[in-house]
Amino acid sequence: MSFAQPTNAPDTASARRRESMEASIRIVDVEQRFAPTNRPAFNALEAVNFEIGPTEFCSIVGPSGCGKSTVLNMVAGFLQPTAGRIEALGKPVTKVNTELGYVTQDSNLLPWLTTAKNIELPLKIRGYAKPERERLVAEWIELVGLEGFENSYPHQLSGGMQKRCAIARTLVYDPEVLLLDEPFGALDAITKTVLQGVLLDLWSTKPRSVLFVTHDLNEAITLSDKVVVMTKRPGTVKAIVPIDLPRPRNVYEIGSDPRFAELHHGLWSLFKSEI
Amino acid sequence: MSVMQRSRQAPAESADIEAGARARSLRVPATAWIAAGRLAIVLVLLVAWQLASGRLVPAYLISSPTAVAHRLYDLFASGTAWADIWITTEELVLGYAIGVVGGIAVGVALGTSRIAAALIEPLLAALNSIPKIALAPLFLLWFGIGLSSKVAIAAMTVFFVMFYNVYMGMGTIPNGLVNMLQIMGASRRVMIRQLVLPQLTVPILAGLKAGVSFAMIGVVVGEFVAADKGLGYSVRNSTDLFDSPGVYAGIILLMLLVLIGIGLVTLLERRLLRWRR
Repeated sequence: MSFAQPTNAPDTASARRRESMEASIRIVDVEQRFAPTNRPAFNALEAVNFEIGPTEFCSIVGPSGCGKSTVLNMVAGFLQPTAGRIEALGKPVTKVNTELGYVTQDSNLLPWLTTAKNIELPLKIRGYAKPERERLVAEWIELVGLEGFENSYPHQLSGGMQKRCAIARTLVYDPEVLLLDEPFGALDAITKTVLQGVLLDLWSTKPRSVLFVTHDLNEAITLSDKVVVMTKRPGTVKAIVPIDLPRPRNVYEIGSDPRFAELHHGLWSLFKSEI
Repeated sequence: MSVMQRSRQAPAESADIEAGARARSLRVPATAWIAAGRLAIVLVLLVAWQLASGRLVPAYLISSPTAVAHRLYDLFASGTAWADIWITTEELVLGYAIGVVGGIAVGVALGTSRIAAALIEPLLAALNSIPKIALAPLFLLWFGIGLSSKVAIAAMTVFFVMFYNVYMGMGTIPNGLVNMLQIMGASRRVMIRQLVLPQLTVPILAGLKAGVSFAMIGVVVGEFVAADKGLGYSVRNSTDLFDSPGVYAGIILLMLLVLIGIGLVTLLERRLLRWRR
């Protein structure tokens, strides 16, 4: 499905495209009930409803333990909702969904593979030919700024570099949907901002659906088109807040935009009653 | 501010450097001294053995280093040692290989299937509780007096060591990595090749190392019970003949075989664990 877009009016065209196309991810009346053996059963999530468009950057914020990551794990297909349904790219998610990419808080790199081999692994698994693999790995090492560390093992990289590698390893196979579970949660403030910039650049070059879980409101506002605010357990959607800051955004300066402060104030007033 | 910082950092830094220098100046001679010390201990023990033999303890019980050396020389000069070494090595290598491969395969299989584990693991635990030596006569009955009975006993002994190392190790595979490979589209085969086996490198290497001496116990027990050649048979035979130099010569050769095996595993270990350095 490709549309001829007039290059002089990309905003209206992409807006039209977004409206005309099916949502990439659709979460309908989802409930997740857990029944631990040593405690009474409880609902982690109840009546969760929201959608993400084909090129939309959506964040989920919510107090810790509200089931943000559970939503992500259900979209990935690691677990099934106990009620309701989840669709990704037009199909119900019934098993692990290999059409999407997943970046977690732990970088989850294979410790016995070098940077280059880690990035190459999904291509190998997906049966790319060797010359194609080599080209893509070199390209992505450059895109995430890991030149010179191709042959380093993960334990020889800083936390930020591991994260760059994890992002490259996920985007290298060009998944249509990207899930990120507090990817920058364990990084220092400066590295975090730098990597938010890297992520936004990569996303602007090739926009795709992103579902980004975070507990950091600033991060959610900086990156997203909309923010889903969740309640405390049992988690459900409290509000969906559109982020109308213009793009492209400069992650280093956006915090001083007056609109940013308003959005933050609005989100915070929703958020604080859930803590 | 910067002066204050520097004055606060300076002692810590110089302490680090001092500690580093001390460690370096100690480490190099330390290994040499320890090696020399070890050699000295062995020499003292050998001299004590030599002196005790025939004086404190009758020579037919403990032989003596010179008699054993003489016997070893004779065995190699006449070439009779090689036939025993060859047959024992063959039994050892075959039994070891079968036990290692079987232990890894069953360990991975039970580690990846909860149902299979629930069904089979308790049965294996029960089998493992049988002292393997008690099964040796049975195995000789089943597999005959030749090579295969020793291979079978060694394989079974190694199997359990390897199986438990791998099976327990399967529990240490991080869920996050499993999920990540699943999202990438990894099949079961790819998962085992790319994640399970590399993750289990350490327990497998531990099993490989322990397995060498376990395999040798299996082989020697088999040769003790019934055999007509091999180093274990020669030790047993020499014992029956009150030929103590022969007993000790055989034991030393068995020990050397095990040490060579463990040395080979150590080489493999250095290669496989390169990524950790």
